Amino acid sequence: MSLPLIFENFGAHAILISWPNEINESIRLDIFNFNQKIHRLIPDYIIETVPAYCSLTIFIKVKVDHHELINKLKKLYHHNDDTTQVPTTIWKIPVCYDLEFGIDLTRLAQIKKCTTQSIVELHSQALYTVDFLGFLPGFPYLSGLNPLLHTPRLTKPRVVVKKGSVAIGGKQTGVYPIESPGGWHIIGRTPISFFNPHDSQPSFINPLDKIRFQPISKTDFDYIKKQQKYKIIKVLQND
Amino acid sequence: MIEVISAGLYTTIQDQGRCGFRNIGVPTSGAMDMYSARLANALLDNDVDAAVMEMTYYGSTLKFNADTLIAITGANCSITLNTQAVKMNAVTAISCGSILKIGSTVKGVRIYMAIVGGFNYPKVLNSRSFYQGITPVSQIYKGDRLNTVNQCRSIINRSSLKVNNSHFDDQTINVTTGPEFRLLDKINQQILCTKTFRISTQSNRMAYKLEINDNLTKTPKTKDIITSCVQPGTVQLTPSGQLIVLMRDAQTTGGYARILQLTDNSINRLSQKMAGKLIVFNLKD
Repeated sequence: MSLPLIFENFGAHAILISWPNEINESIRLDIFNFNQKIHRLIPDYIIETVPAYCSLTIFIKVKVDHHELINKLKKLYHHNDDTTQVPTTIWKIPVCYDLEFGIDLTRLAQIKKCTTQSIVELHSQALYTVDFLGFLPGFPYLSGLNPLLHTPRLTKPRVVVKKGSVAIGGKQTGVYPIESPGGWHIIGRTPISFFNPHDSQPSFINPLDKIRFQPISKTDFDYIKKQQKYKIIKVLQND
Repeated sequence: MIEVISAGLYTTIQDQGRCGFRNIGVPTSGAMDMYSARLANALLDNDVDAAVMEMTYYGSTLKFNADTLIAITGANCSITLNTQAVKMNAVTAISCGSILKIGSTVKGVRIYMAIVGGFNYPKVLNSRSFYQGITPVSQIYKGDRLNTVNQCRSIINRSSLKVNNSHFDDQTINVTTGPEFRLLDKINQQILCTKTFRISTQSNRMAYKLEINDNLTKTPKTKDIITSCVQPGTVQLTPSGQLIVLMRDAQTTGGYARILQLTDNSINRLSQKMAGKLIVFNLKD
């Protein structure tokens, strides 16, 4: 793909690359592939990169000349190396939607004038795409929430949301990877740890992976939680 | 080993920060005033990235269980070792059993204490900087025991360094334009670059909130953006006209317009400004 990108300095340590200002999957795929290309072909210039919906920010090493790198990046974007790929991983994430964990389920059902069961069904039937990670360590921005479940955030955020809480905020759904304050509606909890700072790969999910939530019982939740290492089900699309 | 008799208002361990994990939402953290933290380490001939104690507004009281050397920098405060006054910005020899009392700040917010060899906490994701959910501990409390790297070294330099007062007193905060600066009209760009702003009491390691110090001027307003990358020093403008300067513990992405970006040294300077103090943005080309 070849889209009109804007390259600019973002402070003294970063270059911001902006795609057309819209949220869609083809832009995210283009960002994903450009990001891979940068890491593969010019690793010596960069410290790290942060992809988002329609931007890619590159944190660069101290001695790198911004102007020179921008020229290099522009060439790199148009350079075809036939290694573009589409990620195909789907993660099946167990979630216990019991009211003990889904503390906002009842209220949400009242707002939506339906049963808590239908909220759980709508939430667990969808296939979500990981747009990118941010906000909290290991927090996935997920798209694909059924419009019937879109709900404005809480007017007053909670001081503490428990680790593993699965929640809905606006048009998005997500999992709180660590305990934190938060303004989303909590509908369940996963026993899977989305952020493991002591692992060599602290977050197992990557941008453009897919996620499906699988309802489980409290007994299963406790069982999985007790296991030291739970093998998360990873399936490949087209399998 | 050091025993914490009282922790102070808000005390953490910090180094030069955590790089390489922003893509998975991990903040960089690190000393709020990197300049003062580096100075403390330099006085002791430590590695630049050695972990230091960061104290906020009010310092700790510590009992040392070994002979060692320390250096205290940053916000101006009164310090005593047993009963004797201790100089800031200098190396101080500590003998086993001594009690060091670090008082409240007179000028500035954050006090740094470096110890020879650095504080010995395990690195998590390449850094010793405390952050809740990443490091096992996120704050130092009364009764804690702080591990240090046992290193004997004789005093390298007895003289104290003079730190330029402008680091604490200068109202000027140097900035470059942020990605959304161009979306503001000329009048609002001018307001940002000429008016005086007051630091709100709602300011911490994550962000500083600013209020316009002039009842006649309305803060500019702007629309939200599609969530994108932010970094320490990014000045955000919310739709309701709130100005937020992101600091070291800031999240990695955000949805507010990024109108300005502080220079490295201006982040250091801002982190030493008490709530209520005034600042002016100086836009550099």
